[in-house]
Amino acid sequence: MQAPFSVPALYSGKKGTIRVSSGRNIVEWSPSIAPIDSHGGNGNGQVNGTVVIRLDDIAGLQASPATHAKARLRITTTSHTQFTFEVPTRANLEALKAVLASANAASSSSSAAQSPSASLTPAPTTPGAASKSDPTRKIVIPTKGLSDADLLADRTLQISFLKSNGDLQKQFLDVVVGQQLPPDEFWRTRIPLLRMHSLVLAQRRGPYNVLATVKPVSTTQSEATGGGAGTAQVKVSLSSDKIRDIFLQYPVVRRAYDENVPPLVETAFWSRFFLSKLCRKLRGEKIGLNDTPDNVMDKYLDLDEDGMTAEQRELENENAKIMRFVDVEANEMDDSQRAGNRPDITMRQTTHKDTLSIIRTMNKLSQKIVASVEGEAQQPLEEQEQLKQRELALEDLEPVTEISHVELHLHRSTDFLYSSSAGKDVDAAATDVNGSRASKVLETMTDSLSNSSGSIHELLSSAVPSSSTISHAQSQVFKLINSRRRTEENRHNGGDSDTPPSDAVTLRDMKLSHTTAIEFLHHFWSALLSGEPSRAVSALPLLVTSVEKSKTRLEAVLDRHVSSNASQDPATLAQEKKRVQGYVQITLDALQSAAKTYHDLVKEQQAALTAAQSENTTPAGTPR
Amino acid sequence: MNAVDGSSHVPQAGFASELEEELPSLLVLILDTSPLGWGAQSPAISLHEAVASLLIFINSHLALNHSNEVAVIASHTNCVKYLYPVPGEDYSKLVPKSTATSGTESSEEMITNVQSNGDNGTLNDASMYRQFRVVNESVMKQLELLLLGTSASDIEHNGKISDATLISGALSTSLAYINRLVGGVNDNGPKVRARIMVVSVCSDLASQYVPIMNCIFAAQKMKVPIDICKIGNDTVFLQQAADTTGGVYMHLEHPRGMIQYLMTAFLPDRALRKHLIIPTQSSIDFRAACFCHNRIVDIGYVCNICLSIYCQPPADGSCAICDTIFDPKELAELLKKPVVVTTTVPKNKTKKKKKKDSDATPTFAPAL
Repeated sequence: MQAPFSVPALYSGKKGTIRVSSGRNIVEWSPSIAPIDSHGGNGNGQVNGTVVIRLDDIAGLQASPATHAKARLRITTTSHTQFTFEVPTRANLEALKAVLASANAASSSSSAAQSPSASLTPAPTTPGAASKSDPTRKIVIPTKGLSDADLLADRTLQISFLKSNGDLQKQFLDVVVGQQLPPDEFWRTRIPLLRMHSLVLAQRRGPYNVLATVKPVSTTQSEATGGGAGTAQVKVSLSSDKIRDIFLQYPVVRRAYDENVPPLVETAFWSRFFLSKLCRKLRGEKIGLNDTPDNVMDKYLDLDEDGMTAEQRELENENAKIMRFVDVEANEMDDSQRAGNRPDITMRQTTHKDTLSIIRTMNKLSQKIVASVEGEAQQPLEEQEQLKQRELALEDLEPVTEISHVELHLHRSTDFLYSSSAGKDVDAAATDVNGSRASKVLETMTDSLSNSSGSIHELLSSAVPSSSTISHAQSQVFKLINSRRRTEENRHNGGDSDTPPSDAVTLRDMKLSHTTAIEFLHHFWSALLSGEPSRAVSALPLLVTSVEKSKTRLEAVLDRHVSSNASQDPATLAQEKKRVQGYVQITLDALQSAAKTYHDLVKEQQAALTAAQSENTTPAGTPR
Repeated sequence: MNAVDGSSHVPQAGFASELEEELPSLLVLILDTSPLGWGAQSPAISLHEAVASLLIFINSHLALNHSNEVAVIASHTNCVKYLYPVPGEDYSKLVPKSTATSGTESSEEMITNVQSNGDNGTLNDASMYRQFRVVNESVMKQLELLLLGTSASDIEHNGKISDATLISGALSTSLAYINRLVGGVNDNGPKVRARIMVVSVCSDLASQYVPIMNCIFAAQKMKVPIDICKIGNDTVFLQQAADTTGGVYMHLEHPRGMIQYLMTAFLPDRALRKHLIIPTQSSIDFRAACFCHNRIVDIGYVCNICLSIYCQPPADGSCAICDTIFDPKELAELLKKPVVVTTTVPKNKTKKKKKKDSDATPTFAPAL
């Protein structure tokens, strides 16, 4: 796909620009000054606004000979319409011609099956519609900017992501703004999230059935009497976007508009349209006898929504190649003589013509919408074919494929590995001791069993311990039960039912410090284990300080909690601190171990370094 | 005692579950008889004392329902043995001939037992319920036989006393036993409700990681809870067993009071536990053992194809189980040593043994 190519060009003596956009398969000429409505009256609409020619409709290109004074290009379409553009210089002409030729070749090969009839579609003169350029809303998947480095560098993306995610924003403010964690470090652990957000941003709402969304509010004076021709008034709010979409989805409306608006006022056209049978038909509603006739709009009733008459449609269908395997006539098994046409409601004679047209309208519309979404990203013809084959395949007649499991075999005996490397080897000297111990252990066991040679009653009563032991055991069991009961209750009551207010504050602070601490730990380990010397210098010392600070912060929360306690008894305070500390002990341990690992490593590596340096320098410093 | 009532937290039992509650229950007791294991507990509790408590517990279980059943399996150092019921033993012959025709328990039967079992050792007692007596005698007798039959060389391995116990074997045996009894599901559903209880004194089971985990998952599938009564040090995999299958894990802080633990924590059967808050530990050690050295690992490496666990990236760059060859680049990435000090000298080769953090990579992702 090339970039759009444009040159200034005159058409019918008016200044304008000719644009070739191969992505959209059209050549478009638009006037440089806004067209004036009064200018046209001839109804064909070519002269009024922009001229749009589909690339695959171009049948011939003809440039004026080089000797000619004016550089002109004549485009002949398949429907034998000719357009002559005048470009300022000869060079421009040659360039335009080359671009058109190559684009035409490319597009005609890719979309040969396109309908030839909608070749010349003069663009509407509605300012809103003309200004919005690309009607076919392609899906743009941003393949660029999804690499890790790009995502890390894309600050606007990060900001928009933070705005969309409140929790993360809080964390960002706390960790990056508050605790001076480099933003890159913060995002490095969240690259998948960024990528996701970038993809989310790239998504756009697809086209939808516009007419269904436009809800005219009719304030009819005499319709209630059932009289017929009352002065109906309709209130419709139409945005330019909606008008554009209506034109796109229903070319027949565009045609009616183009052919009638110069005599009619625009507002009058739309109000008549929304009251007309045409609108009802396009919406898929039934046309009643009571509907007001409209001599302008009713002309288009017999056309289908693409603005074609029945004959034209037939012609088109003939031209369109019917897939062999969906061609009913080609398939002997699908003989309508067997069951008749009865099963297919669209084939019944009694079926009302309106019903059929509704079905048809809806089907066409959905197809169109789907096609426009798929846009240019068309599957190759082969794939489409395969897809159709798969849809038609009778899968339930296929034999059931058996699920085959993959067997895994433990090749190397782990026993060998275990005994050799478990480090439990006992030296030979100990063997004797152990041997005698083994028999001794056995002896005591058998002795104790045979000693109980009294009655079984005696044996059983020996199992009953002292009452203090029983109460100790009892208290252990009930401690477990109580703690589990509390968790159960908390789960059912939605958490902190019996937490005192001082605890609530502590809990909040603790949660915050904990989240921050975990964040720093995450970054610390990923930086440490990355093994990159660059990060060791830039990020690690900073992260270690943050890790240590996190620890002091958590401890400060604990101290605050204890000091806020009403009780002054040191024993109670110590007990309280122990209780609360229990909640965060794991975090504290993790922070401690991270800091310790780092400092041990620093010590070790510095020692190794100095050793290496002294080794290097000693022989050099004392030359022999 | 209100604390144990958990019924407010469960939906009202429907009719179907009420029916289920009337089912008899089967208790399979696995007794760890590792001599060294019990030797280590010696001042606190001896095997003999524990067995006495367990017999009372078993008798209570049998007393709860006339059709309740029990099986006792010893998990010894070198073998797994049924203590009750003993294969080939016909327990009905203990019933004296005079009452055998009636088929029901009666006071008369208990009196006649005295004569018929007069030769049957010193454990005989006329005033004992027959089923209790059968179990008690069988367990004591078989346990004695087992210990007497164990020579010093059996528990000695590679010149040291093995404290191993075949828990995985015992679990498999008990699952097979349960399957035999419950497996015949007829139209009325299962005939019994089974559970397993393990009395464990052994702490190191790392070498049996895979078989134990397989047993745990089998039990989970059969809906058989595994209760753990733990004496001595905590054992990693047994905690997981109780947690996965919905059983009770109880570490006895006061082993002498074992009978109290058994009666309060382990006696309620499966149907009853729905209505109770069961006293099990809330913190569970979920660590795994690596397949290569049977070490228990905090952070390990997992093969992305077969999920085998390794404590360090395999030296030959391929998985020992499924032979998947790992990307050498990714392996090198995993083996990178942390660098904390940089110098102007570019060749800073710091050799340092270092545990890897859970930095996930696509090829070889660490576990836990």
